[in-house]
Amino acid sequence: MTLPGGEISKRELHFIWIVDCSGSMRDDGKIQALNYAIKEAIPHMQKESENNIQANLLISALKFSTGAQWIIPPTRINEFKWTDIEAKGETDLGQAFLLLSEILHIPPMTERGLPPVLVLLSDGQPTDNFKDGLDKLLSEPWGRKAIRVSIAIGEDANTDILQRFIGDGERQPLLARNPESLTKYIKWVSTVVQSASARPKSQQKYYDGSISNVDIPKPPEMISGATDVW
Amino acid sequence: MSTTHEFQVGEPVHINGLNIVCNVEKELGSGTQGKVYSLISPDNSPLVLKWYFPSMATNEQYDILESLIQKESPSNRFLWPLALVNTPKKEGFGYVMSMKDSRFKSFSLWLSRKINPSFKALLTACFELVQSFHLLHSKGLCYQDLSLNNIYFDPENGEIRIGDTDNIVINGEDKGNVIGTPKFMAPEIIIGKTLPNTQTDLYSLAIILFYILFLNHPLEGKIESSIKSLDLPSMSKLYGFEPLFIFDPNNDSNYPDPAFHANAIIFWNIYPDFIKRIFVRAFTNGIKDPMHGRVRETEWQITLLSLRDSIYYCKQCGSENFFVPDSSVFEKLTIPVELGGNNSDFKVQNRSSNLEEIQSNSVCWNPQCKTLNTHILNIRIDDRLFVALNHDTKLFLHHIDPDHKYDFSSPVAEVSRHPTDPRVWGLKNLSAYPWKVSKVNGDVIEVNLKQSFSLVPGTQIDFGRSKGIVCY
Repeated sequence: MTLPGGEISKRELHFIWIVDCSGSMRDDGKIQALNYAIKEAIPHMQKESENNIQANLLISALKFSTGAQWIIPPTRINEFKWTDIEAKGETDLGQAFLLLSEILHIPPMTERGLPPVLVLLSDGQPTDNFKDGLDKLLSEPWGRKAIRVSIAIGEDANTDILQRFIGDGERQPLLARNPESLTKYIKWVSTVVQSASARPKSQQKYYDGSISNVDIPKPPEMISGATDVW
Repeated sequence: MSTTHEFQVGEPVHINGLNIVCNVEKELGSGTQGKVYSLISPDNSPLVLKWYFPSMATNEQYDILESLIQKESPSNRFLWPLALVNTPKKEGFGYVMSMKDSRFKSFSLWLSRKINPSFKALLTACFELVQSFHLLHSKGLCYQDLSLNNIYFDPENGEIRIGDTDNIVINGEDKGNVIGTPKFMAPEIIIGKTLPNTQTDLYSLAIILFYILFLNHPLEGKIESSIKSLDLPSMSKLYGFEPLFIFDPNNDSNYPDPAFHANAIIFWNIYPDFIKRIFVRAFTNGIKDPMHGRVRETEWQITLLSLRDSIYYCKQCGSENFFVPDSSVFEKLTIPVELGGNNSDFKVQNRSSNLEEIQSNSVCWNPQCKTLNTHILNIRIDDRLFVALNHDTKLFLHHIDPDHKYDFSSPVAEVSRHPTDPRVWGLKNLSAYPWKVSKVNGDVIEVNLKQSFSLVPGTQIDFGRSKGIVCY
């Protein structure tokens, strides 16, 4: 006999990939490494969300090069498939922020959600006016409340801008010097960061004292002995 | 690229404390403290290795593990540290413990309704949890990080396993790395008044029991559904600074929102009052007075077992329902007031206008059935407890020997069917001690091992250490 009632009611959690596919991402197989890393992360993301009693995870993606476009609409994790993207064009980060800010309010966001997770992956310098886009993004309540993470792909990325996206003093951009560390960081954001918003985890006794929206565990600890591939 | 604090598949692991060498089978997962690997051991005993991230591999953590390994596990329900692991090749340290069998599932699967346990299995799991933490606490130990993430149960029979035992410390020593898990942490920890202790463990335990039995957080009602984005500041307020029970009898401003908290309402209308009263106390006085207001484990034990003993199957659809003797009988039972006995001050808020009717008439909760179950065969023992007698009911020493409370090791009686007349039900003696059974006509017969007597209402049984009467 089945017992009464139904599934515990969950909140919507939007997880959004913001991917740089400007021309420079063609160099040294960076775009291939990125495509590979995201595909690697999907099963781990699915496993993590299976044990989730709080969130309905919805994943979407937008790319920016010359202009910015949504490439994957909000999709349930079990149906999520990554389509390989190609690299060409400029680095219109500001356009990406503007596109993002268009959805970070209610509606289309739900009345009963969790702070969204925004993950920015970039290897270079914006070629447009990123500042206006960022201001617009942060003027949206859901943009401000979002957990914003950025990954610099290679040494040439402008980490100052990636830091401004995250916000002052909270966390730092993750620097992926090679494909292995990119894979690790992508797995980390798609599981640990996802669950920081979605599934409460043990909290550590000693934390840095910063007051944030969501308590995010430390990034993966890695040694820097590996040779730089890029 | 390999890092010095991670293991590769196949890598040997020397476990000096157990005098064996194992090999890493695979990575099982990664948490906030470290990574967990399954091991291949010489005798194929299922072992796992937890290896701490360097920042978590503190001297204090090492000392905690060393002291846990020296102590014995309170029971086999705990996945207890067995041996420390050090190796010059890796940074930090780790420990090995037994791996839980695959029949043990995460409670999140129940909350997501991906598995289908019975009320009996759920209540058994709840009882085992309470019993295990009672054992742990009575040894002066404190778990510190109790949440649904580190307990598991067998949906078939309710047997449990408790993981993440490496934060267990001597109560009051303020050791360890964790302060708890959001939503399960006691309010006094969230507001920074105290660090985890056995009293805060009791609060987390009550949260877990409510989650399992109501599929809802006890503080998530209208106030929660009015929050648009549930971030840390709003969580601190909801679970820490302004906690309000969804069924607080004196304040209905956080009553469940039917759109999002239907489970809480549905289950609240199914359970008998005595279990609801104890939850009311756990989340009213238990919040106001952390030192003296919390429900003790022994109280949970008695209440949860009474609830399990009250399960009967609807005669029409077979659904598990809860039987409560009519109030004239129930009042005679010496269930203490603080356990929610009938004289208790704790009111239970019933929003459903026909709830009283449902309970007194024992209407099946199944919306497709709603059959009226008027007569439920049960046995009352010493005015101490009652047990609904179903086709599969078993009695244990717990029921018939006041000196062996909570002893469920082997059954002493079971409901049986007459071998030639299937309409006749009996109670079979499975113990070595003969029972004296007084029939309604006054005859006294002796019932020995493997013999049954007919379950005729009014029949009285002298079990030796207690007396029972069959009721209908």
